[in-house]
Amino acid sequence: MKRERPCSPFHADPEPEQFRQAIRFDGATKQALETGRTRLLVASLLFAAAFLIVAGRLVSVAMLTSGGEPSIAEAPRAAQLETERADIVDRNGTVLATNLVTASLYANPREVPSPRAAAAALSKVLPELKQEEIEGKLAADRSFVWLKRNLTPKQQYAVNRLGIPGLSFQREERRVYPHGSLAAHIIGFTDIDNHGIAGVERQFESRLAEEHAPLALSIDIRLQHILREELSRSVHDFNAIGGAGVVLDAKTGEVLAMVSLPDFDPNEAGRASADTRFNRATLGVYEMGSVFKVFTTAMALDAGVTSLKGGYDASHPIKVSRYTITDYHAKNRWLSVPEIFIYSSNIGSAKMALDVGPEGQRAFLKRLGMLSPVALELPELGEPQAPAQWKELAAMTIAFGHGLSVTPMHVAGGVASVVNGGLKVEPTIVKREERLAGERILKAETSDSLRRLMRLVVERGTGKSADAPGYQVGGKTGTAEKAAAKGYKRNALISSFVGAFPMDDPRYVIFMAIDEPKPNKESHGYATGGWVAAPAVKRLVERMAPLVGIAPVKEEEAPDAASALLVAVKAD
Amino acid sequence: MLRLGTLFWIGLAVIAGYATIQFKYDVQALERELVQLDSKILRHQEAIHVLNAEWAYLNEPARLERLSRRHLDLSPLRGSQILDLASLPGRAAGEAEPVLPPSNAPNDGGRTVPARKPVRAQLTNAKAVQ
Repeated sequence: MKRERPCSPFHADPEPEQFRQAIRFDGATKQALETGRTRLLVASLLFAAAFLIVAGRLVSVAMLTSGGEPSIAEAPRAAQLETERADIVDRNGTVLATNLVTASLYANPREVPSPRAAAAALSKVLPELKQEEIEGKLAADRSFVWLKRNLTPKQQYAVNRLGIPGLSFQREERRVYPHGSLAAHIIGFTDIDNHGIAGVERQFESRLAEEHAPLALSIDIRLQHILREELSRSVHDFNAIGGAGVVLDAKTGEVLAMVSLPDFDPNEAGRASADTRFNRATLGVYEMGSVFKVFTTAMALDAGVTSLKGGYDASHPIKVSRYTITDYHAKNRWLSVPEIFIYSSNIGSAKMALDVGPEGQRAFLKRLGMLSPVALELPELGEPQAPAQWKELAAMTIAFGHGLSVTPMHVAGGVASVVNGGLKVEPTIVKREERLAGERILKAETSDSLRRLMRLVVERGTGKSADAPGYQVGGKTGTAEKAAAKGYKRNALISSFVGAFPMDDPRYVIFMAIDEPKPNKESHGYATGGWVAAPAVKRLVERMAPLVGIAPVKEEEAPDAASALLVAVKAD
Repeated sequence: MLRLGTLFWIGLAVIAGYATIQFKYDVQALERELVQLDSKILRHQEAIHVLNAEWAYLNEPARLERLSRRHLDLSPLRGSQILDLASLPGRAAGEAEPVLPPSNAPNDGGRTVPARKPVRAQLTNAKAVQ
């Protein structure tokens, strides 16, 4: 048999002779068969397309990595410790306030097998718990009793070691102030639920509660310690009822240290008395006395009503209505402006203020910020008390610091503005990176004159005992009688000293005030600013200068303020 | 031939399945380890936090001062103890310029590096003077 297609299998002959008849269908059947084939073809094509897509996707995912996907799997971020409240740190990062996790011990009395034995064991490891009390609690038919809040880790370990069933711990956080009372009035404290109710804790409540980064204050805890120690030494030596001290950066206005005595331990703020919690440095307003002559003299020189070569007759007391203005260190003669300043003449200062006039004086003190609370970030800010009638009498008394009550922070900020070249300083308790350009209050020359005058006070005037050798301390003493119901109390004084150093380019302003110092033997019966506060400032400067990196100047190289002023200051 | 091919594919599927399960277990183990490490990190952070607080407490200036007074032979630095190079004894007036360290010493912006550590003996001298 001859085959048309030799390579095709024999039985696959499309139309072998013998079957040709058999597989020929008639119309309808053939039609159905054709439809079936077409459907099969479409289905298989669809499947093929689907598989092709899957295969293509497989290749693209497995081999052709797209840029969007990381080549290394990312691990979920490790958990961060998040306390309920952010830390407060000083300018160098030392922790001032932090939250510690503590455990509070509670019990399910129904699960405690032997209340008597458990109570005996517990009172042994926690001696402050009374055995009978715990036994009573554990014997009660309840499922929950607190035994003790805020255990230390050691106590927790000791309780765990007892292995008493039914005792459990609740994790809690507690605000802790590692430095105790050192910066109590600045930091403030919180209530039992860790909400700030005083000081920075209150002022920055939402910041501390919401952010986790520590809040850096402008405080330097080392300077804070030195200030507190020297201030409390003066308070103790002169048997005073309290004191306030401020150290300010003269250029940035940062508060480096601020102390109010007596103080309290913020860890146990609930037990502190109202007197110890009172912040004398920012909340207490006092008539500051002669330290105000810094402002009076600056005002008069800046207004041009007098000059360093000018002067006033201070030979007779001034009598205004029923008041008499006299000099404490009376010289009873004509005094030059530098003499008025260094001998702290009330008569001369009053006359200076009169030359400027009550309106000018008021405007000047307002620009200096003396008539409104300081813009410090603390809730405890005192409102200055100014006279309702700012007439000539008020102008004269305010010239030497009576009749206008301000806080110690006002004085420190004001003096910083005066000595730093005449730019207004806004004190701040928060660390400030750069100097803020304040409003100009005084001409640069006036500021320069005041720096020399303040140096002169320490070189030859009432502030000699503030002279820390080599550090060119300048300042002004102040002694104010405290106001009583009628007039003034002669023996209740606020003795203060406001200083700055080094005086050729002041970097730090210091103010210290002692509340009601009593004279002692060493002070020869005096309790004035020059005897009480000035020595404390000297000790403070001597201790802080090496810390802040200010090198002493040799006496013979230090500029002599008196000769630089080219004025005759008569020696007595 | 057909049987061999089928066997090959079945073998491959078994290996792939085994590998998948094996990887899954490995990943689970790693994840457990990660969780453990995370909680360990948290514990350590908590410990560091407590230690920081304790460090601040132990560094309380008043305490340091007390300890220093009790255990150290040092007293606070006073201004009179700070001298400049020119006023050092044994130096002629013209010799005020500081002697530079040998050239192999690091030169940090012109500051001189002391050749050796300052010795304690000077302190006892200073004390005798007081």
